Amino acid sequence: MITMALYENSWLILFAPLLSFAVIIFGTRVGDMLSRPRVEASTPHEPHHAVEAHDSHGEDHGGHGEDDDDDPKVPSLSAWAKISAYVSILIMAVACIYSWVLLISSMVPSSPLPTEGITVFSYTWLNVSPLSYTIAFHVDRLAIAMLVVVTTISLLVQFYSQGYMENSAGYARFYSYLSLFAFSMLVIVFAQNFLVMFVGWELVGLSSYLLIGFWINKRSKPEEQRPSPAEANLQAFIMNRIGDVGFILGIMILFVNTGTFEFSGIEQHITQYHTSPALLGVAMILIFCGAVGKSAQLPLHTWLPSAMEGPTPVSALIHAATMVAAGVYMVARTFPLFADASPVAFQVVAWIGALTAFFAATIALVQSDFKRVLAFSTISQLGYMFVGLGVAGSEYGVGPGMFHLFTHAFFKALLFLGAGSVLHGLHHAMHKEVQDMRLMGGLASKMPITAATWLIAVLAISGFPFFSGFYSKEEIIGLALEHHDIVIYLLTLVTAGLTAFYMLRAFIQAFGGKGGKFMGLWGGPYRGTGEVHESPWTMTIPLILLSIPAIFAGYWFGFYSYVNVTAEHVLNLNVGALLADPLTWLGVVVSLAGLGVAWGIYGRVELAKIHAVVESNAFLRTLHRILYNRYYVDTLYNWIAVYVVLGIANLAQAFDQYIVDGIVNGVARIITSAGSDVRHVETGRVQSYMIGFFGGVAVLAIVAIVLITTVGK
Amino acid sequence: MLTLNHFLILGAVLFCIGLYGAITKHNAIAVLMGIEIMLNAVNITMVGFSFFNHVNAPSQFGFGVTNLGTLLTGQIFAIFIITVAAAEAAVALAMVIAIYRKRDTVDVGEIDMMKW
Amino acid sequence: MFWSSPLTWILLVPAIGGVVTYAVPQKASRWIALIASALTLIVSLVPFFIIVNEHGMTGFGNIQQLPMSVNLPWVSFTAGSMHFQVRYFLGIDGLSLSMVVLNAFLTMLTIISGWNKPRVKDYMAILLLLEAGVMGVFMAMDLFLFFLFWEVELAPTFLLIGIWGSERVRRGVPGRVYSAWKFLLYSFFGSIFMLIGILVLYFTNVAHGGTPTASMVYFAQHIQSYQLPLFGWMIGSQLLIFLLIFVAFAIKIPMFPFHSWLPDVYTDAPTETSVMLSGVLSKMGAYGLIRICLGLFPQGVNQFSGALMAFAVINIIYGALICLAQKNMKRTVAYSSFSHMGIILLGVAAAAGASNGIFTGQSAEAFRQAALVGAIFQMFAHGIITGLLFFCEGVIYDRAQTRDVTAFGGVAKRMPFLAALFLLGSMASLGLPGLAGFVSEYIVFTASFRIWTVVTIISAFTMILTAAYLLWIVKRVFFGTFNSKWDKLADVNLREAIPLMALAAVIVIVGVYPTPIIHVIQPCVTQIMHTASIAVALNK
Repeated sequence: MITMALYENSWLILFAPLLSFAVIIFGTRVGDMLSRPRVEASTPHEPHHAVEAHDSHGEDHGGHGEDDDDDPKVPSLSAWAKISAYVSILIMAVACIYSWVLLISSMVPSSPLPTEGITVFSYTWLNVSPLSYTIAFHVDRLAIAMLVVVTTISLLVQFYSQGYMENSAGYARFYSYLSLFAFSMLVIVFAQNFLVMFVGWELVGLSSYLLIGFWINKRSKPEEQRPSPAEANLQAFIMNRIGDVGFILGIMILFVNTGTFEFSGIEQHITQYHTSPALLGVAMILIFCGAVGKSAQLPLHTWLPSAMEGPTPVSALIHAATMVAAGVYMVARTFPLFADASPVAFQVVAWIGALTAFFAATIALVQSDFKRVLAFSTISQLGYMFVGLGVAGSEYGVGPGMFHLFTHAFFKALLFLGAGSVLHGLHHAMHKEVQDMRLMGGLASKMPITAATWLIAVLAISGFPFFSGFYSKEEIIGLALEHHDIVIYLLTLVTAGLTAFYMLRAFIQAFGGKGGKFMGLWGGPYRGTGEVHESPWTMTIPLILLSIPAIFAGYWFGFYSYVNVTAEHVLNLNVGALLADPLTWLGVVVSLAGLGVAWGIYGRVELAKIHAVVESNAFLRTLHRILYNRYYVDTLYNWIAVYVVLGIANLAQAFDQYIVDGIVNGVARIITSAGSDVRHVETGRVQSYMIGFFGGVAVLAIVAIVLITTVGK
Repeated sequence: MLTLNHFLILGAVLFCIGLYGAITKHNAIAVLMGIEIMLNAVNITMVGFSFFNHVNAPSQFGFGVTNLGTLLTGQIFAIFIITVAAAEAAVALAMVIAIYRKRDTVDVGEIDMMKW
Repeated sequence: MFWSSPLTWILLVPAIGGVVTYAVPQKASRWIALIASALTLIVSLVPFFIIVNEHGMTGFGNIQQLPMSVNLPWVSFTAGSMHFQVRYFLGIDGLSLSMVVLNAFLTMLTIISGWNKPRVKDYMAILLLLEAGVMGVFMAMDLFLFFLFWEVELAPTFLLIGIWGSERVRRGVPGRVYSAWKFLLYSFFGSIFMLIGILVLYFTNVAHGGTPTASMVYFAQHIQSYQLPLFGWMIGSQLLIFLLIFVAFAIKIPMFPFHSWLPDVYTDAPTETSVMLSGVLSKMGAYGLIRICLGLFPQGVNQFSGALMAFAVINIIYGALICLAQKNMKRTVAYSSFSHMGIILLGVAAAAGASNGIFTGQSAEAFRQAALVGAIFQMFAHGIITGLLFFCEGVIYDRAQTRDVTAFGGVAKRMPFLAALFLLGSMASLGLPGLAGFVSEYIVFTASFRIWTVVTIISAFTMILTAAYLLWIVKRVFFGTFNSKWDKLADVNLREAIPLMALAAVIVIVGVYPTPIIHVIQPCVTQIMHTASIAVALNK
């Protein structure tokens, strides 16, 4: 029997990762730090000795010594560090199981969970009637669906990280950050009002900041156009903040008009007082700015490719599957408000999404960095989700967008974790970090599990029929046409083809190549050095597990009505109609064409030859350069930051120093200099004083006489 | 007939002479002498005023003398000034001598340690 | 009565502690100072517990219903028809109490932090005297007494900056001398106007037949509003006196354009003094603005609120922009303090402001109260956050002997603990949820948006700028390629960690659960806004 208590205690899921964060930060990580031998810096050794001693052992370290700033390693993990990971994984496993229980129980028709959800935990900051600033958490079916995604992927990523982060000096720290991230993300999921949403929003920004910058001392690689993590996380945080300003302004407009932050309260107020749709539209577009920042949409997308400087599991967890989806989730959460607003709001969402999807896909076509391809594919897929939300209308509700989020989370996590597996293998083979696909090739025969699961994910993201991506993506493309947004339809359709092309291109560059089996799809010559081996089981198990939902997640056909947050009923995904629609198959053909072209080119032609062709043609060369440099958007932003913003800042500084402080010091100087001039009157000569004295008396006497003689009469 | 104006003119002339000496002389002793002359010029004026005040003011009590205070005010002032002048001369001369010992000069133009 | 009141002891414990610290031998002195400051903290918490015990968590009262006070005659004489009197009148309500506790807390941490200063005995003694003076400012309920303590605090600050400040030569003199004088003269400049304002208030009141008193409670109950002649014009006494008194507060806060002492003084002062300056002394200005200006001259503040709002946004944005251009770490923190004080000004401007914003969906009254709660909360939050940042900066300076941001790089490798704390302070400062700064920033912005819409929109961009300059510093100093020059840098030791950890803990606790502090300050806000709305309505 399903009772309410099951749902009422769901805040336990929220606080579980916070608990593991606290345990690691205040417990096991402290133990880990204390158990480590003291570093040289704090011991009063003579510097020369230390250096010499280090040099003589340098070869043993093989680049993994204390000095390796890029990715500091320890010879072996302490028990404390391992306990950190176990604690984190165990707690996350419990939360994950609880989430699944919630999901399954709430799918039962007799479930006591009301459609509008229940508030599970709340306390008030400030209550000035009628305003109240309240921290309140709330769970409904939309939240549960997201909960499952977040906890499942978090769990798998944490499990996987045991292998990927082996012997990392910051092992415990890494797990604490992962837990903090899970908590932050869950705050967003559980948010009942905009205040809590904003809290989670910023906390996710913090965790992302910490995780991107995990390798604090890693250097930038200008030759690969890769920033250092320290630059990347700063950029990510600030980009997000730019969006957040819009977000908070939108919240404020809603707040001053309705006097509440609660989603349901605002909705109630709007329907009751008939707030002007135009005003609401402005507010919702501003709120959407926050989503643009967090979900890396145009024009705030540049941080996401830079964020790839974080460890790969992080990229999988937050820069592919969950955090960037927060923007989508937020729009879904506030869907009723968008629906009440002027239709322009939805159009903005759909257009930004469509443009971003296309824009990012074109960039992904030419990137040579393994992770960057995935980064741009993420941006592109997030664009699809926004298109889904923007064109669904009240007929379908949040379903299409959220469904793509749901399926995408699994196959994109799979892609990233697979990429991580490849990078891990190459790192062991070449003893340095390699992300350039030109140094890979033919890895399928060396890492068959990784390659196979990756291929599944490629097919899923390409919308290959009957994989999960097929159901979520084709539906969005179809809806765009149904809404007569022909341009959006074409953009998404073309993007589907581009997606298929660049994903298979990446697959073949990494795992296949000319000379491999199946026309270069599987195996082939390896362009790097060293011996590559399949990753340990801690890493392959999550891959295998993720490949299951990558195929089957699309078969949850009741999803649309399950996650529905509007009061009205919505249509479900009609598979029969979808499969019967010729336009669906047009989309499939486009995707297959993309796959085919990629296979045809990269499976049969050597990479160097392709490069030569591109370089020989002026048009292709220019196009390649523009795309490779990501339309120079980063360059433009850099220029703005350095010249415009810093220019104004320097101007303000000069104004402050020379004008404001100048006036103050100027007044002081005038007074002092006046004093020092006047004092020269004091000559020290008695006789000159005497002249002044008697002269003064004479003047006074004359004045007195004049006054007496004139006034008296 | 000797009138008040004679006294006043004499006092004014003496005062001017003294002032001239005090301002123009470089020798500190001469300056002091000028000051003494100015003081004595004032004394003459005081005494003059005192005397003619008595002559010109008819008695309120019928026999010449009105009130001893009124009668002698100017002269008492003069005596005060003489006393102060004596003290001043003593102190000033002592200072001049001290300065002469220290700086080997009594030129007031060079004694300007108090400047600025 | 005098001896039995805990308020007297809040004043006397640090004062006596300072004298005793000075009298005992060097070795014992720092322990005496520590004990004295700890005792002060305990004594300053006594009113809190008494009030909670007697009136409950929401019974912290306001200036008209002081939950705890001591009121004794002190100076009293009659000259002609004028009766002149000053009373020893101390009182505490929620607003005062939060500041008193903040002062006691920060002073204790500065004493721990300054443990190894040269001439430590004098240093500690002066710090304790400073604490006593500031306590007086926060508790005085008689305007003359308030003025007295306002001036008393200058002397220790002057000495602290002038003796222990930076030796870096500036305009031909050591920076400590330059800055000490700049601070002293600038403060005195403001004090003159404040004294004139108080005297005008006192004598106009008497001339109009009021009780001859300078008690704030009296003036809070009898809002004075007359027309006064000034150079032939008639001007409202509310606006005139408010402006006169406000000059002193504006300098102390500091508010643009009276801020130019701040970068020099904050930078040249020793770490602990910077903490006190930004953490407590600037709050005296904000406290005066709310308690005296808003409490006694609501109409004046109301008339001035448009300008106040403009100055607030200049403080916020202009300060943040300047921070971006700084290369000196301490100067950045100083300007960031300046920028964040703007949020308090914005909150007060919104609380006092006219109610015709662009959006009129909800009544403005509640928003104005919320804005003031946010502003007062920001006073507390800002005190602990900049305290943490200044302490962190002090630790780095002690080790590296430089404040130049560009000289560092990747230092987190050697100082992970300090890096974490500095990052926490930065995050709190830029308004990360879960930390103290967010609560006040969020409340002030959302509430003042109702009153000053456009200005709040502009101010909201500080979210980007603050993040940019603080995290840019974090990046340049702590993260990125390791500069091997700093290979010998040691992390925070235990003694230095105590103040840092204490502040970090308070920042987190207050940020996660701000409700108690809001309960403490809310009755006070309700009363101020109530009085103000009546007074402003009467004026119209």
